[in-house]
Amino acid sequence: MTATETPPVAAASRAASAGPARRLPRTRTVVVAAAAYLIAFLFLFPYLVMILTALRPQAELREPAYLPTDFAWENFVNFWSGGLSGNLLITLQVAAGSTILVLLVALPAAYYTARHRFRGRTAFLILVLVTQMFQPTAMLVGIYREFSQLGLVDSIWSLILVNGGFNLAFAVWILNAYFSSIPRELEEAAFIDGTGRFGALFRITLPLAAPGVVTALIFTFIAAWNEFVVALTLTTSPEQQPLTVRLNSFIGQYQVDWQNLFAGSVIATVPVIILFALIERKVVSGLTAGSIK
Amino acid sequence: MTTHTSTAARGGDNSSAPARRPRQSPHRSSGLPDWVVPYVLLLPGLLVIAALLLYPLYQIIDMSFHKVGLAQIKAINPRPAEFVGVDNYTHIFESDLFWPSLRNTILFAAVTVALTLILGTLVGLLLNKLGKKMSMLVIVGIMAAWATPPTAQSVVWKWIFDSDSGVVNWSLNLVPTWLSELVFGVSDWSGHPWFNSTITIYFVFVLMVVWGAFPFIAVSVLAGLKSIPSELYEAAQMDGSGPFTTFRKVTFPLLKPVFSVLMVLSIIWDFKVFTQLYLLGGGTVNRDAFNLSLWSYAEAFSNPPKMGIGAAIAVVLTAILLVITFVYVRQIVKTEDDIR
Repeated sequence: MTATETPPVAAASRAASAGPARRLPRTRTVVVAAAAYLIAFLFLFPYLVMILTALRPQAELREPAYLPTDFAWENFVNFWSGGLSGNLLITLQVAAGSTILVLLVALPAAYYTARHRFRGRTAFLILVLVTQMFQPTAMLVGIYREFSQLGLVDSIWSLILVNGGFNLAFAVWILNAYFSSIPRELEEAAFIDGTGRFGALFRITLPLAAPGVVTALIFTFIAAWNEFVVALTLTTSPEQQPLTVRLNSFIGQYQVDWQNLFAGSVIATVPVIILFALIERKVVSGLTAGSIK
Repeated sequence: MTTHTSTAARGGDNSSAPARRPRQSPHRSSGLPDWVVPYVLLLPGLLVIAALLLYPLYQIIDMSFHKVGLAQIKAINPRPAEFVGVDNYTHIFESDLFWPSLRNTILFAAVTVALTLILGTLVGLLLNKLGKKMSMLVIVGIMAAWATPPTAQSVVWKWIFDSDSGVVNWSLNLVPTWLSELVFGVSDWSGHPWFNSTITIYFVFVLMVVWGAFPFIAVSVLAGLKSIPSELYEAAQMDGSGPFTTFRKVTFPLLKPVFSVLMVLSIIWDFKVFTQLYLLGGGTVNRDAFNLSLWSYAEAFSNPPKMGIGAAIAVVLTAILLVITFVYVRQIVKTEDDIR
């Protein structure tokens, strides 16, 4: 109610600037809250559209009413029985496989570069930074040739390898930052207490670095789950395609199968959003590590 | 035992002067000589980088000087590729698709990066003003957009802008006819297509990518804002500085390193966007809407595959990206030095 009459006052008090601006924060609060709701709405709107359309019966698809009269859960059942569960499984295997690959490769490298100075350390870290910028989109032709020479086109292994490779740099970078932030005294104290090198590593350092490890892993998982262009190029048979690529086949040039498309989109989206909610804060600090401190 | 005690002492030293850490720890229990250990641990990483990133890079450079079709790349008995010198490059530079694709790539990146950064910063500032619960809610809501698979994003936005059932055309029809005609020159929006002309494809494309990308900027800016001591703002307020001056004189200079990293990251991300354009534009049908990566894909993988030409385009794109990367690496190395 104060909102309606405060703007002039607010302007006046801002002009005076030194005067007791008691009403100013209140107007601001209202404006700020309104803006926040607007932004939240604009962001949620596409999800709302996604879910509502996924639940819309085929007959109602073209009707202007935005709320479906009855919810067609069978759209999801159709998705399942239409053989797309196999593609979901492929997506899951690719994401899990590349996450494991990244874990095995990135963890020792990141740990050692964070703990020790040795010849070539800086060179290695710069190599990692540079490769972080390599784009599968730009390398596509080369990747395709490599895997067709290996006879791995249309195989799940090619997708695991490529996704692992392209997410390695980020994982090394973020893990390196985490390991560096753990005081080495803790580890050495445990070592003196007789845990042994590996005992110290597994009982002290790794648990402390767990948030970083989880972040790197979930980030890799999401990136591999969402990947499209490599899978589009490297897989040819529908049953070998991950969900993202398979969905694409519902978009014909003239006809679009919206029902399956939306049911599939919801299924492809929900897991990553849940995973993402777990790490969202850490991803940000990890990505910009070094610039915010 | 004595070695251990001395190590502990040295460990204590290290915290104050990490740069003078000894190169080799005296206590290694594995059987390997000390100097080998780092390379053994780094070897898997180096192998993966070499096999999956550097080798394809070598391949695209190599292919860009050859005439390569499907017969040349198959696993069994590949036919040798014919060396054609710089013909592939001449071909693409003379192609009437080169300048439009380059223009689309760069313009798209410029517009998207600018919009993302401005909007992201504004939202970041807004989040900083909100209460804890509210800001958490907004953060989770908007970050979800960042994690959503590009495929699903494209599907939703294609539907929102659908010519017959899209909510955009439906809302635009609610605008009074005279106003609609005055502003857009269109009176009836039913069936108005959005994915036929390059301009409107890119309009939706930019909107969608900004939607998906600025949450990250906003949350990063928020993290940066939280690190600025509030005394600085109180002092600025005492001196009678308005919000714009405060931002220009206090916030921006302090967050400059954050902004520069975010900018380079956004540029790199926006140069590589492929999925959304591919799906919005209907694959490789609409040649006017090509950017460099889509053009490269179209040359290399539509029938008949001209992989050499696709590779040459990829090399051009990679060269552009490497220049940007150079700036990024320099920035990171500089900020690391500032901290140490």
